[in-house]
Amino acid sequence: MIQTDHLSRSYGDTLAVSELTLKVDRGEILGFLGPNGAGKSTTVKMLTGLLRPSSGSARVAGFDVLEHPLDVKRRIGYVPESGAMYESLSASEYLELVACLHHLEPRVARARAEEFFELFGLAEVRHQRLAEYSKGMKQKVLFAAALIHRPDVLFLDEPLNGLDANAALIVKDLLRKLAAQGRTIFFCSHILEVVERICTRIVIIDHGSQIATGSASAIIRATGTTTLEEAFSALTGVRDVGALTQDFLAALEQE
Amino acid sequence: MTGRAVWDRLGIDRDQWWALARAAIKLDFRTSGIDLRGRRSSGGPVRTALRVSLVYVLTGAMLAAIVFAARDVFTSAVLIVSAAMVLVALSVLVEYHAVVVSPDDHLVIGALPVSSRTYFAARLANLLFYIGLQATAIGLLPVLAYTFAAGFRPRLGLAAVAALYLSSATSAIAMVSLYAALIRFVHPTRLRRVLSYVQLALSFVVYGGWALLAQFVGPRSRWIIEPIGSPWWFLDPASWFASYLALGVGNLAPRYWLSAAASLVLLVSLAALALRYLSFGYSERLGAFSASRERPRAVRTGEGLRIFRRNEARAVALLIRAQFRQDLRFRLSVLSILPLTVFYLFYGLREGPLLDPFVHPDSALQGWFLLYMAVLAFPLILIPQMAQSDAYRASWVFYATPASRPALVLSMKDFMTVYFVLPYLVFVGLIMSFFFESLLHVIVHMAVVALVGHITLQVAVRLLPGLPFSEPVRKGGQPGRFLAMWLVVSAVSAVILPVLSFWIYPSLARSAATLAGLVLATLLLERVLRMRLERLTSGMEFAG
Repeated sequence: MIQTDHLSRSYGDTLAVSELTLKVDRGEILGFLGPNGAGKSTTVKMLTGLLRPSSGSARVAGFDVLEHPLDVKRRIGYVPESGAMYESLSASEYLELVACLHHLEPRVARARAEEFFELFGLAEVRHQRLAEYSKGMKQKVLFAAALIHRPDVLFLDEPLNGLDANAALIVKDLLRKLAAQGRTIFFCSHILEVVERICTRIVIIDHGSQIATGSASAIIRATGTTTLEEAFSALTGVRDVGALTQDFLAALEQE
Repeated sequence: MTGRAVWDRLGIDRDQWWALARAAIKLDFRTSGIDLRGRRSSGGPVRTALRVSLVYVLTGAMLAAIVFAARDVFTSAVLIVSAAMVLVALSVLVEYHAVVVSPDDHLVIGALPVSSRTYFAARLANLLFYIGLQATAIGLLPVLAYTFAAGFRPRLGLAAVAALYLSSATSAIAMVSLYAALIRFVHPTRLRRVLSYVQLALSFVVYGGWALLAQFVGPRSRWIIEPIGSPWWFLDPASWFASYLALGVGNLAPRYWLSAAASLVLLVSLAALALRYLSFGYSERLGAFSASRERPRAVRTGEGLRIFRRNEARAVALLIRAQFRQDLRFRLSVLSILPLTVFYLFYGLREGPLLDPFVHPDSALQGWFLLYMAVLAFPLILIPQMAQSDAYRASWVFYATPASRPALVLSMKDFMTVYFVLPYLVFVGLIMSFFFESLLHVIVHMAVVALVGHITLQVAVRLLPGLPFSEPVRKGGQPGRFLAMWLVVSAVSAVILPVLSFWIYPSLARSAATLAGLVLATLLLERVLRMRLERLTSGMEFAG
């Protein structure tokens, strides 16, 4: 469902993503990991049509992202890391806006929106402005907006940001069930325990390049560590966390 | 007293003030984004400053002409300084009000150890920087004219410089003080509503002042402006600053000394007021404003937007309505322009009775084109404003969905047509029905005006295309747009519409043919515009 071939993107002289080649199958939940600035969000933005690749190619849901961007966008849902939304709208207006942009029948859109509001416990406040929502409530609305047109592929960039424990449970369960239905999920997160628990495969990138791929256990085994967290640290260059923090504290103490 | 002691005395942390003021100006200049033509919307500080300045230099050229037209220095100075003060007030009103009333920055630095007064002083410095830039551009040519027009008179030139800078600063500080006073005295939960009413009232005052000035310079002058005789002019604060020039040419009458002194007292008082009272708890009030809710209100989805039922048109209509209701910056911008319509309507009707162009074909040439100006100007100014928003990062939704971007752009135009142009024309049509001999004449005439208005909007979208609320707000962007739009609007309302009217109304056949031609033209333009927008937007990427 997702396939990239030497996908690259640069900003001026800075190479954000370099020659990324990967494949994600139908029904798979891919955990896409990397340290800050590794190129995760840039990759997602290229796959969702927000950015144009500098070179290489990518196919999503069977369509080339450059040649058939609209066909791709009809089949994807996206929860951005920034969480940016027009906060002057109410939650129900926001979902209506997104549904209109997906050319959904108003009646269908309304019915689906109501289901989401029930699921996430937002029914009572659905006519309040998003500006009045907490971060977690906004995240629920973004999640609903990503699903309202029943996409084949979901791109989730830090989707659990701000969610309370109950909502996070619902989202994780939902993701498993969506994957079981055959939908593909591209899951970017820094919460490694969640990634380890729900993702069927993991790709780790650093400085724009892919440095590891496989199941969580395979990556742990290959790095000779005992947890995904340690494996991640080992792969992305932080060798001795204890020494680093000690140096930092010492610097803070200096006059 | 050392420099630092003065700052301390004022209650301002100099280092923090400098850091904040510098950061604000840097941020303004670095505000970037990509417009539909794929250009970065900011071309560096120098280019931005030049772009802003050019429009004001052109305005200054018109003001410099007054130096030559007026029979005495004081009269020309009163007019020029008045114009400069009105222009500054207009800038604050339309563009820079957010510097004072927006709580956005407070969300970022509210938790930092910055005193309220320092914060307010930094915002004031940010505003005065732009006002200084504006005063320099407006004053450049008039100052040169004063210095060199009647022999080399450096003292007069310097007096003009002082008058322009100090009057501009006074005008800006007066406006800022009013906004800051509102923030101080109005409860945060009611501030949004009160600010809206005040903005509307201020717009009437500023445009009214402008209209009065135009009245004075216009019909009475015939290229020669007679000296001001009435002592009532000394009630206008602009004349106090203009007194510097009278003194500069050696006219040392006591009334000029008194006026000059009054100007300084005014400026110092306003500055003291701003610093002593208005900065007290300013940032805390902004914080309360940003945290306050006007009482959570249920928004009735779909109410009033029944014309736009689905897809991009519906999405854009929802967004524009919500932004007007909730986005203070957008709301105040709209409310600052709205009174223009009323003024044009008023002046249009003052030109004389509305003659039926079917009966008096030459009536359209008699000057009531001001009526058309209103219907054309407002949407043309507003459409570029609709492309900008502080929430521009939320426009990712237009890029990650299969929405047609040309349809989004065109939907903004359609919204303006349906919710502004048509209601306004219905209103004007009702007025016309009292003067015209037949209702059919009113309908045909209004149809012609509506179609020409729509074509003008299409041209405007072609010139300044933008996705709704998808570009960062840029300071100084308005003057250029105002000028460009004014040229389009003036050409259409002063030339095209009267000439069309002169030709089409004598016979019913011509009227029908013109209507058919205009319908065809607007349909054709829509198609061309859509193709053009498709080309422009095909390679676009999200710049948030």
